[in-house]
Amino acid sequence: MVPAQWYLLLAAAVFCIGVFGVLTRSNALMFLMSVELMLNAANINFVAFSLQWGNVTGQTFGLFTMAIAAAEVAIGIGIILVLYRNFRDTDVTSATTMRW
Amino acid sequence: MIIEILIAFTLVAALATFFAPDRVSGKLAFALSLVPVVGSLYMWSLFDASGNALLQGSQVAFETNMPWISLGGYEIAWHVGLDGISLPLFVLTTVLTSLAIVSAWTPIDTRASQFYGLMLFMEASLLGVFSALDFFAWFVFWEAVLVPMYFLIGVWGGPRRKYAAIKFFVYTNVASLAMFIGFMALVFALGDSVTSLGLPEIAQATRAGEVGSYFGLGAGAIKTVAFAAMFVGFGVKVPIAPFHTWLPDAHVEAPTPVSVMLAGVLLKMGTYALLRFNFTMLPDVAAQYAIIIAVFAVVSVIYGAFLALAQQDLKRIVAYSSVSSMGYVILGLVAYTLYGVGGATFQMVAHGLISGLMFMTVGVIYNTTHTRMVGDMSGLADRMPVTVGILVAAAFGYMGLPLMAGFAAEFFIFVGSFGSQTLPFAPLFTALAMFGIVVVAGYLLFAMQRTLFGPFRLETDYTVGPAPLHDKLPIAVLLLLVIALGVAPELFWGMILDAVEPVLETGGGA
Amino acid sequence: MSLPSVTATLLQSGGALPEWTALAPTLALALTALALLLVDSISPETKNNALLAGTTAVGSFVSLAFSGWYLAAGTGQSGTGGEIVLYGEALVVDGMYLFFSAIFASVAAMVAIASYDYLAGKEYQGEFYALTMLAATGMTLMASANSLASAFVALELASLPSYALVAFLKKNKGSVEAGLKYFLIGALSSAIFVFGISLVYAVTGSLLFSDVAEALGETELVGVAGVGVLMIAGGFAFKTASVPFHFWAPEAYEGAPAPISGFLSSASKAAGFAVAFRVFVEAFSLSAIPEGINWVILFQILAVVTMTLGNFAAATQDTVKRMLAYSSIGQAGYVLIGLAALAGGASSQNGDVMGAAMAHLFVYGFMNTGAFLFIALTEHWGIGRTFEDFNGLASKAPMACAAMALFMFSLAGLPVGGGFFSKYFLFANAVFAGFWWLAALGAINSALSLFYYSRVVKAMWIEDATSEFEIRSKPVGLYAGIMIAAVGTFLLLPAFGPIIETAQTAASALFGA
Repeated sequence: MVPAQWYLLLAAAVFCIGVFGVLTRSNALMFLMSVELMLNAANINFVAFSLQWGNVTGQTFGLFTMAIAAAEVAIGIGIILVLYRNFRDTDVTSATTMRW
Repeated sequence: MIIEILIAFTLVAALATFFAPDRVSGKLAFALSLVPVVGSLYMWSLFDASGNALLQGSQVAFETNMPWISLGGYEIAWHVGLDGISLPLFVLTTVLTSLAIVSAWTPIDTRASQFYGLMLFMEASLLGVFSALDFFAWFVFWEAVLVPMYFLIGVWGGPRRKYAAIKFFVYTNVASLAMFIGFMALVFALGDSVTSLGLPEIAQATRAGEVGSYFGLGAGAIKTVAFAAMFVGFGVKVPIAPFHTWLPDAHVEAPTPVSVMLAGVLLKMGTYALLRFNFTMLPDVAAQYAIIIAVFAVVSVIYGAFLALAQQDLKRIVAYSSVSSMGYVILGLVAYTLYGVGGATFQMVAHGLISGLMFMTVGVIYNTTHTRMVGDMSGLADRMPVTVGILVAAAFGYMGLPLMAGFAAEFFIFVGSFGSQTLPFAPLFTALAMFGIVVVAGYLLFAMQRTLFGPFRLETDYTVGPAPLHDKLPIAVLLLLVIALGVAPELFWGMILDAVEPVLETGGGA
Repeated sequence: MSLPSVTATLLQSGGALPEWTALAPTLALALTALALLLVDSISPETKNNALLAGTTAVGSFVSLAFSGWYLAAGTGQSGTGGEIVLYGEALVVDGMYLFFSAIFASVAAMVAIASYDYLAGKEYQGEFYALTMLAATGMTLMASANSLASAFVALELASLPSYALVAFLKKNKGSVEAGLKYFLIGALSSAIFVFGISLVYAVTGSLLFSDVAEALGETELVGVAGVGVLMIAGGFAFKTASVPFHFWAPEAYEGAPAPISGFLSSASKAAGFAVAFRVFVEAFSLSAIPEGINWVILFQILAVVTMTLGNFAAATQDTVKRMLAYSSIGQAGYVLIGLAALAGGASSQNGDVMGAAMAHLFVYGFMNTGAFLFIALTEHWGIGRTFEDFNGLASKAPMACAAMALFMFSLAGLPVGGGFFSKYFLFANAVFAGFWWLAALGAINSALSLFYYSRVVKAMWIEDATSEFEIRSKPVGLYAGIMIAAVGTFLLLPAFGPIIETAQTAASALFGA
């Protein structure tokens, strides 16, 4: 069996890639994909430690996460669509009618 | 129960007036304000309290005491009631509000319904301040008074109204914060010996020497700090020099009826609270620092009087002389004798009536002449004989003419302070304060002579004639009240002495 | 709050009602949402705003009535056998759930009533109300979550409709931009949140709060658990608009339709606190958690930074709505005292200070929603957004401006509304708990807040009008919503006793006292 810490490291690595994407990409779709990476990093943890602990809580929660991620993407794409209609762009930095 | 009914009625009346049409609001507000007047006079006739509401062995009139909220280990109660100190102020509030509302009929011509609504709202809060016997209930009303006053100055005031309103608001709010912190420190230092924030319980505990150490400070230090914080907090309201600088601005900018309320009742909140908190709860600290407090008092008297001397604006003259008059109250309080503290309480009522009368009369003159500058006018006596007559009478009242309320009050205070045991050099302080009277007489006579007598001179394109009846009526009524209280001070004097006496009994316990 | 025991025996623990009925406040909201979706699918183009808003308001009131009844009767509280645990311990019904449900339902009702006018003539009204109800459902579930799984699902159920609602005015650039920013930061923070959950699961092997607390006490992986707790705290910081995930709040509140701004800044914030209180008290209980993970210090820092940043930013704003947005961040800082002034061990002060924070959220629900509804009214009238645009408004609309003055002074802590007591009680309880410095910082911030709150009042009442207002109508719904909020804010001054008592009892139950 692969030791538990490897899973933790893998998940952390995937999570960090996601964070890197969030911080560097200004395209809304790329941003969404990066967030998906972060969510899936959590899923790796859940599934791996579900095995470690010998219960199915983690796996079940992994399914929940996927379903919610799908719903989130649905909302997100909708918002990005109206963003494109209003600003003719999917760059998140282009929408600046209000100051930060 | 009657106190709650009156406060609730006044609040509802305020709301009704606020949304009434402007046209009828003045008369409506006056009619509604008569109910608290009648109510408070009825309470006076039923009044059966004895002793000081905060101290042991007292019987409080119209008392309600029911649990409200609990805050940690402290019970907060809805506790109201009146004793011989608060009833006169309660009556003063209702009467003066009604008269001030009538005096507003001429000068207030914009957004009238809102003006009268706020006046009634302020009356309700003031009634609460003078009747509450629980700290939080009292504090709610104390702070609530600021809100209508801010609007009354800010909306209907003179050219610099915004500045004056903000200055008033900031000064008094900071003062409230200082007072609140001081009082809370005292409560925490009392530790387990109090289980409520009721003023009687706290006063009795502090007088019984239950104050312990708190926050690394000993009992004595805590008491001193609390006394100082509350003295500053209430001193701003009184106002005691050097915390008085908001007052002239507020008075000059405020419309006349608001000045009447400000000088007549709001300043008394400060002295009333000083008596209830500082001098009732911490008599030993008051005795210990009597000299310092007396210096504050005498400086207020003299400094206020000389500042008044230097003014040209009639309203500013009256405003500064209020600072001077309130100095007597502080002197009476710090003397810690029956006549001193009793006289101070009496002076609160007397000065409430007299300063209200002065401001109202100056307002009547301003309504007609559109100026308040001493140098601009002369010989007004020809054109407005009745008003001028009342103003002269009021001025003599201010100077302490016998048979007027001011004489009785100042006489009591001087008798009391002269024989004070707790205040060192009492005769010296009394003499210095009496010197203030001379200055008052000087500047009032000077101003009178310049403005009222001699040949009429005022360049206007409008005619200056007698004031309308509804302007003259309130000042006439007030003058009658001032004389009545001067001729028969026992109207209030007996109950005041009865309520003041317990304060002195264990006074100077340290 | 002791009603005759007759009422209590009618309820779940007496066996008269099945246990699931304890969730009635949530079910009422969920069924309303489904009913609205049904109406919408039968006639998708309906502009029958009265029907939609009416249904929403009635549903909210039913939910509120259930919460009030259960609270009075003692459902899920110590008097009738303690908390009711449902669905494999995923959800729990106790005093805290009922208290927060009452907040969400009252805010939702006010927002629904006000939206009647705000949405007049706009498209997709059915969706608007349905999404509002779904979000409210999610918030009540957040308050009842008893495992990290249900907490996450409920949080998303509350968040996803909120994203859509913020971007509801889809032809308005501000609204879309607000929706985008809210969504992006929301998605990011929920990813962080769920990763935090996965780390806690990795350490403890369970998601149930009680099991997590037990397992955390024995774990050796303190570092991993600590990172997990930190990330979970981040998720709550987003929901409550606290530092460091507060960036979205000014944008979202400013761009969103004003009733939604009110809904988010009152109800959604309260929901975030509801679940945060439960998670940190039950799952990361101070008595069980390893020494190394001291989240109280974290919340102390967050509370101080949040209240200071919110207040200073609010003081420098030019537009009223944005000022309210920042002030709502500042208010979140005060409420964070509820988590920051806790001490280990079974201190009875813990329940009191957290209860005071809950009571503040309750009062805040009325005064803050009312303030945003007033903004909705000015938007309805087409009045500008800056302070100057409000100059002299009181002469045209005295009643609404009087209500707004009440909200502002109450938010600042002057005794014209319940905000006076809730703030003083929060600070006083912090002092009793020994955290006088938190109370002092709170009091200083609160004094500062009077400056910018009174600016609105000054503009409306004291300044002279700089431009002519064209006030064509007096919208009934918006006025009704504002008046409900105003009366509620005022009545909470004399009637604060039952609120604080209920809140402190509910919070103490959480600490097992």
